[in-house]
Amino acid sequence: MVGGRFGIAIGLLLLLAACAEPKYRKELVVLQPDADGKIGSVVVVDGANQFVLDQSTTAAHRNPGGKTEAVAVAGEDVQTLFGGALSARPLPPRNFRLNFVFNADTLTEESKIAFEGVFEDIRKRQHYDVEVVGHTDTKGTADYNARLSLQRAERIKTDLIGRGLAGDRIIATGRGEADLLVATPDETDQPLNRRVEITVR
Amino acid sequence: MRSILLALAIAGLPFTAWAQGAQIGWLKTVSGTVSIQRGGQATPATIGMPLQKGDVIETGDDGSAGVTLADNSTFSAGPRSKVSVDEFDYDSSTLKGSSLTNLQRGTLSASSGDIARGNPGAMRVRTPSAVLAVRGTTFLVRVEE
Repeated sequence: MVGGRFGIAIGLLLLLAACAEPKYRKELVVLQPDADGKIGSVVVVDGANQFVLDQSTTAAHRNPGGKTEAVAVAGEDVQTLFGGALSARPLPPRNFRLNFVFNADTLTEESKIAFEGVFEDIRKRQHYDVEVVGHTDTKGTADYNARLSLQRAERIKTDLIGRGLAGDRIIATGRGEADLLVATPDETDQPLNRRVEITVR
Repeated sequence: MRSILLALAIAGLPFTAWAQGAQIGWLKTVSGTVSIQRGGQATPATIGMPLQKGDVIETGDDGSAGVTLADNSTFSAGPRSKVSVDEFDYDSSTLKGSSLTNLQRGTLSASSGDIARGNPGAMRVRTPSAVLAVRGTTFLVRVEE
């Protein structure tokens, strides 16, 4: 008899648990810190309603047709709910800035050493592609610099292929003197502007 | 004048091809059962496969996949997910554009790139009941069926 009552009590508990609100509603958004620890911002827009997520409110949930509301998400829940997606994240793209000798497509001695970092980075990736964008300073005509910047990018591409990378995964372009790193007047010798920006991803 | 046009034409070519042509990114990680649906055809996904606008990535119970897009944004999907990049316009010289990623179900981890940096809110993620305007940078989304 006592056992029967106990059984009913257990049954009631199970029923209560089944009726309890799930912890999170059907749609859930959670902000995560960046690589440098900063938290960004996402606005949940539903028709005319906007709900801003930022460092003060880092997560919200809603049901279809329902209101967006703040929710606290425990760290272990992030792992339970998002572990699969988190483990599949591609490595973040990485930028390398290399400088050139004046009016040439040869890297400075310092940048030749930094160039090796590109290969180290590529080795860490399951799949790579590379974007090389060449730039010049403002010495010389815009026309000349458009060609020089492309020549610098193409030279890096050739060097990458020479070291075994696949050419169809490398895009090389030149931006001439259109995208200065350090703003200068025309006809200014500025070593920091003579560069390629390499993105490995 | 002619040579600068030529230089610009050569410089612009690969990017124009990327922007107008089909490819908007690459599949960088694939694990377990993952398929790509394009024009009604499903193909098993493999690492290094180019991603096109509108391709639907579908992951099985044990599946997950990660993508890097041309604007250097990245996203990945966990098991039992269905996600596609339905809009993607990106100008690699101005680093500006707009994108819309559609999460029909499952889980998504995403980090914004040049598009959100150039214009906060220009990167959007759609769920069945809302649109997320991304100002930056890393976030998770779950759509339970």
